[in-house]
Amino acid sequence: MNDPDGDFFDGMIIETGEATPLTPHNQALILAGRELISESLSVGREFCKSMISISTGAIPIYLGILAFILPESYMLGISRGALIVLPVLLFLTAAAVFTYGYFPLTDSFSLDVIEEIEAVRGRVISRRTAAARWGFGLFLAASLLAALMLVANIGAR
Amino acid sequence: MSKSPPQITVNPCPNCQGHHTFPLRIRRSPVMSLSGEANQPGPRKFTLLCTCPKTGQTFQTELTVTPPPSERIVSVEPDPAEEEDES
Ligand SMILES: [Zn+2]
Repeated sequence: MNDPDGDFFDGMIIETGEATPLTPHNQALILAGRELISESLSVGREFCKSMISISTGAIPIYLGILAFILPESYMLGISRGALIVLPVLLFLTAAAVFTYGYFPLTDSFSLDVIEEIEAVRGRVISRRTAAARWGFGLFLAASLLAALMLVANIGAR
Repeated sequence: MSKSPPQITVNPCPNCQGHHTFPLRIRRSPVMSLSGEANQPGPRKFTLLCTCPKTGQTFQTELTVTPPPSERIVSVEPDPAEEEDES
C-alpha cells in the first residue's frame, strides 16, 4: 500500500512517513493540548476576572473622591462634565474588554493532530493577550485621566 | 488509484512491530484563485498520533497530503468510528 509516491484517494495523494515512538517534544505538546482548555480557563481568565472587578471598582472610588473635592452646589458645564465623565467611560470600556477575555473558549480541535493543538494554543494565547493588553491600556488611560481630573479640581472646594 | 475512504498503513508499528490501518477523516475546501494558478495550495505535512490497537500505546507518524487542484487540506485526523486492525 505504501509506495514512495504515496497513495491516491479521491484526487488526493497521501504519503506516509515512518512511524516512530512519541518524541519528548510531542509528548509535552500532547499534555499541553489536554490541559489547554482547563488552563486557559484558569490562568488567563484569572487576570481578566480580577481586572473586571478592579476596573468597575475604580469608578465609585473616582466618583467618591471627586464628590469629596468638589463643592456641594458646584455646577459643571457640558465640556467640563464630559471630561469628568470620560474616565468612567474608559473604566467601563476596559471592563468590557476584560469581560471579552474572560469569556470561555469556543473552539474545537483534534487532540490527535499536533498541528491543530499548536494552532489552537496560538489562538488562545493571542486572544487573551490582546484582551489583556487593550484592557490594561484602557485601564491605564482611565487611571491617568482620573488622576488628572482629581488634581485639576483639587482647589475647587 | 483508489476511491475508498482515505487511510494510512503503519508497517511496522513502533510498539508491536505489527501492521495497522488507520482510516482518516480529511476535511478539504475548494480554493478560488483571483490571480491565476499561482495560489494553488501545495501539500500539507501533518504529524498524526495513532494508538497501537495491540498495546494501547500512542506513537506518531508523519504524513504529507497533496490536495487535488483547486482544493486545500483543512485538517486530517484519525477516524475512530471506522478504526480497524489488520495486525
Ligand atoms: Zn502496534
